[in-house]
Amino acid sequence: MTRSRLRPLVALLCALVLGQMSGCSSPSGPPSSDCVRETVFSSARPIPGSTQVIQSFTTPTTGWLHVAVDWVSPETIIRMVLAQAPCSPDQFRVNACNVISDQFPPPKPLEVSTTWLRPGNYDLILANFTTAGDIASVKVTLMSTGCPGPGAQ
Amino acid sequence: MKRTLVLFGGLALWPLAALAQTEVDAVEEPAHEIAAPAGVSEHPSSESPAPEPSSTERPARWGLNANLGAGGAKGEFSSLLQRPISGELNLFRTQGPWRFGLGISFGSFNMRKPYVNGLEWGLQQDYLSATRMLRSEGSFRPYLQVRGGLARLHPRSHLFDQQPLPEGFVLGDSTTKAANGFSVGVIPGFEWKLNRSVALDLSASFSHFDVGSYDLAPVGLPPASSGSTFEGRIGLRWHPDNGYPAGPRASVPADGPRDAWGLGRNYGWAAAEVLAINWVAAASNEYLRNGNLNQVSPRSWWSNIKEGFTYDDNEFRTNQFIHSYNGGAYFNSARSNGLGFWTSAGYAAAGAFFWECCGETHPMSYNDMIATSIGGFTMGEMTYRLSSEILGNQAKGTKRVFKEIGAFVVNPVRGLNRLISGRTTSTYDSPTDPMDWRPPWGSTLLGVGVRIVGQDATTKNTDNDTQTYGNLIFDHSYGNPFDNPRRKPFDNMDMTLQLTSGEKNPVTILRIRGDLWEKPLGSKEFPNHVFAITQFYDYMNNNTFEFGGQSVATSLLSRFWLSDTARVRTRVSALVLSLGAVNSDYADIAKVANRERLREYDYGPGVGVDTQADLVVSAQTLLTFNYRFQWISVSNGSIYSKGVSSLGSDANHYVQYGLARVFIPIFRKFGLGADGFVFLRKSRYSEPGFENIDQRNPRLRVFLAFNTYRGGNRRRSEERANRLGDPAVQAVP
Repeated sequence: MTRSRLRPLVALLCALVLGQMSGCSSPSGPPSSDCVRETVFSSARPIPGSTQVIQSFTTPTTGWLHVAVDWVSPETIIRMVLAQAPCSPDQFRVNACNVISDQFPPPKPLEVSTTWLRPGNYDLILANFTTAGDIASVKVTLMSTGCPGPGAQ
Repeated sequence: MKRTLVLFGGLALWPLAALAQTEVDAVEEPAHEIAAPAGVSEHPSSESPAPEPSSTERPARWGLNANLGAGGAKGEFSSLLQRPISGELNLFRTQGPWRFGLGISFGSFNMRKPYVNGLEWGLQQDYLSATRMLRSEGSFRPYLQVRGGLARLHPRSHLFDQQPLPEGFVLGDSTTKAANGFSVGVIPGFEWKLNRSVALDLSASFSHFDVGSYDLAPVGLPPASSGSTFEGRIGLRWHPDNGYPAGPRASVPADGPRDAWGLGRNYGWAAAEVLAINWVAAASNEYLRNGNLNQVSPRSWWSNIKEGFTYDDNEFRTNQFIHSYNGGAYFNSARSNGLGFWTSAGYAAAGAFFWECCGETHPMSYNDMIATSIGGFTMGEMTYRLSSEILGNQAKGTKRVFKEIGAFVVNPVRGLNRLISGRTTSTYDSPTDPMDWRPPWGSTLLGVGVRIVGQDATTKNTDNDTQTYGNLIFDHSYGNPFDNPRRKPFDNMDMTLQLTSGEKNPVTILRIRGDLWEKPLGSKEFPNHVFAITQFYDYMNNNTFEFGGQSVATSLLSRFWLSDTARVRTRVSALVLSLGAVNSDYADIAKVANRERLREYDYGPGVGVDTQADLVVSAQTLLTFNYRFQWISVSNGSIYSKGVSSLGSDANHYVQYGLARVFIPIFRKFGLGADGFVFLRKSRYSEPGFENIDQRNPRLRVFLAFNTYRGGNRRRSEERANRLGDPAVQAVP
C-alpha cells in the first residue's frame, strides 16, 4: 500500500473516531435566574476583648456572597472566618472546617466576595484579637445566579 | 459504551499497524546496522566488532514531548463544562517508525454561564501512547498518535462541596468528590525539526473520557458521565543529550568532560528528571493525597505566575524538611548526571520554581522557594557525599548489593540513575581522589538510647511534663578543614540526624553544615586555623518545639594541640539566616494566600551565632560543646499589619540552645555517651493583646555508641613531618 493511498485512510479513521465520540451534540447549559440581591444576614453585636463569636446563617439558593464586617474602634483587630457549617471555634482551631474565606485587617471594614456557593448553612466566626471589647456589624448579601459573577464586578 | 470503545480502538490501531508494515523504508536505522564502517569486514564471523557509533551519529532513542492545548468540549459534561485547556509531558522511546510512551496531561475546564467566573474543574489524564511517524526524514514530519489511560475529573468549585463534609475531614483535604474513569484519544499532527534535538510540534487532539455518573444537581443539571474534548496544540519534542538518558558512557562524547565518578555531563536528562519528579509528584498527589491543591492545569500555572509569591501554612515538616528533601532530589538529578555542585544548585532552584508555579494550585510561596532551593542543595550535597562514601564500583557479590541498596536509600535519584545506566551492576573504577569518595579524615558516631525531655516548660504552662523516648543518633563528618588536600564546596561537612520513636514525626533533628569556601590561615601545608563560608541547614521538630532554617555563615575553624594525639577543635560561626522558622504562640494569624491549616510557627530572617568545641583524643571525640543563639525578626506569622498601616504589631524571637556531651570509651570504638541540651525561646510581641512568652525545655540523652574518627590515629608530629618534610620527625615509628 503506498503512502498516497494511506492518507485518505487516515482521514477516514479520524472521521470515524470523531463520529464515535459520544454526544457530539451540545446540551443546554445550567439554568439561571433573574439577578436578585438578598441580605441573608445582618447584625450588630458586641465582641468582648480576646474572644470570638460565631454567627450562623443560611443561603436559600445558589449564588455568591458579599460579606462586610465593620467595628467601632480603629485600634481593634477583628478576624473574620467564613466557613461551611458546622464550624465552631474549636473545630476551626483543629483545622476541621471547610474555610471559604479568612480575612484579617487592614482594611477596615473587611469586605470579601466569595466564589459561587451552593445553598446551605454557613458559619461566620468573628475573633477580637485586642483586649478591649468592640461592637461588630455584619452584613451578608447573596447574589443569585442571574447577577454578574464574583469576578465580573 | 464498551462497543464504542472497542470500535474506536480497533479502527485506530488497524491502519497504524498497516502503516508500520508498509513504510519500513522511512525508518531511521542506526548507521552501523545498515552498513559496516569502512575497514571493517562484513563477514559475520569476523572477530573485529564494528565500532559503536558516537552519540551524535546514532538516531535518538528516548525523547520528551511537552504540549499546551486549548479548544472546546462536547458530550454530557459540556452541559456545564467548556473551554478545556491542557498541559502535558510525555516520555517516549523510538522503535523504528513508532514511538511508544507514557504521559501525564493536566487539563481543566471552565464552567458555563452563569458560573463562568467560578473555580475550574481539573481533568488529569495518565496514559500510554503509540505514535506512528508517517515520515521520519526531512524537516516536516507528520504523525498520528493514539492514546488511552486513566482519567480523573475533579471540581475545585465550592458549588460541589460535599454536604456534610466527609468523616475525618481536615482543612486542606478536597471538599469535592473526584470522579475516576478512563480516557482515549487520537492526535494527528506534525513536527517541524528545528535542530537535531528539538522540533516544534503542532497537533490537534480529539479525546473522550468517561468517569461514571457525577451529580450536577447543585447547578440544576442532570448527572453526567462522559465528555469529549477537541484541542489545538503547540509543543516541543526534545531528545536531550542525543536521546540517551543517564547512560554516561554512551550519551556524551568519549573524550568529553567527566566527573570523578566517570559521568559525562548530561544537562538535558538532568532537566528532564527535574521535570519528571515534579510532574509525577503532582499527578500522584491528586490520587494519593486528594487535597484541594492538586487540580493543576495551565489555568493554575498562569494564575500562580500572575499572583506572585506569598507565604503558605503547610506543616513544619512539609515546609522545612520535605521541601528540602525534594530540592535535594532536583539537585541530585543534576549531580548524578555528571554536573558540578553550583550547576546542580541551579537545578534545585529551577525545580523549586517549577513546582511552585505549576505543581500545586496554591500560590507560590517564598518559604518553599528558600527551603527547596537552598535547603535542597544543602541536603542534596549531603546525601550525594554520604552515598559516595557508601558506594564502591569494584565491590562484588553481596557486599556490592548492600552498597548499592544503601546508596539508593540515602540518595534515591542517584541510585535510580545508576540503575538506568547499568552502573549498579558494572565493575569499573571508583574515583581516584579520596575527597570524591572516602576522604581520609572524618568521624562517625552512631548511638542508640533514650531521650528524656521536659515538654511543657513555658510561661503559659509550667507543668514540666517529662517524657521519655527511644532514640537513635547519627553524627557524621566528611573531611576535615585542616587536613583536606582539596577545598571544594562540602569537602568539609558535618551532619547530625536524630530519629525518635513516639514523637509526632520520626525525624526529630537534621542539621547540616558544609563549607562552601575555605581559606587556610597561616601555614598552608599544616594549618591550624581556617576561615570558611559555611552553609547551615537546621531542622529540629518534636512535640516540644520547632526550629529550622537555612543560613550562610562566616566561620573560623581552629584546632589547638594538647599533645601529640589530643587536640581541641573549635568553630565560631556568625550566621545570616535567610528565612528561619520557630514555633510561636500567635502564628495562626499568619497572612497566607489560601488557608489550608492554622500555622503554629513564625517565619522571618535574622542573624545568629553558632559555636562548637570538641576534644578529640586519638580516634575519638570525647567531649563536645555546642551553643547557638538566633534572632528571628518575624516577617510572616505572629505579626499584624506590619508596615501596611498605622496599626500593626511586631514580633521577635530570641532562640538559644546549648549542648554538652561526653563519650566514655569502653571497648575499642564502642562506648557510653550522654548529653544534656536546653532549648530556650524568648518571644516578644509588641501587640498588647499578645503575651510575651519564655519557653525552656531541657533534654537528656543517654546512649550506647559506636564512635570513630577516621585519620585520628595519626600523630601530630608524623602528619606535620609528612607534609613539611622534617626527616628527624619522619623517623619516629
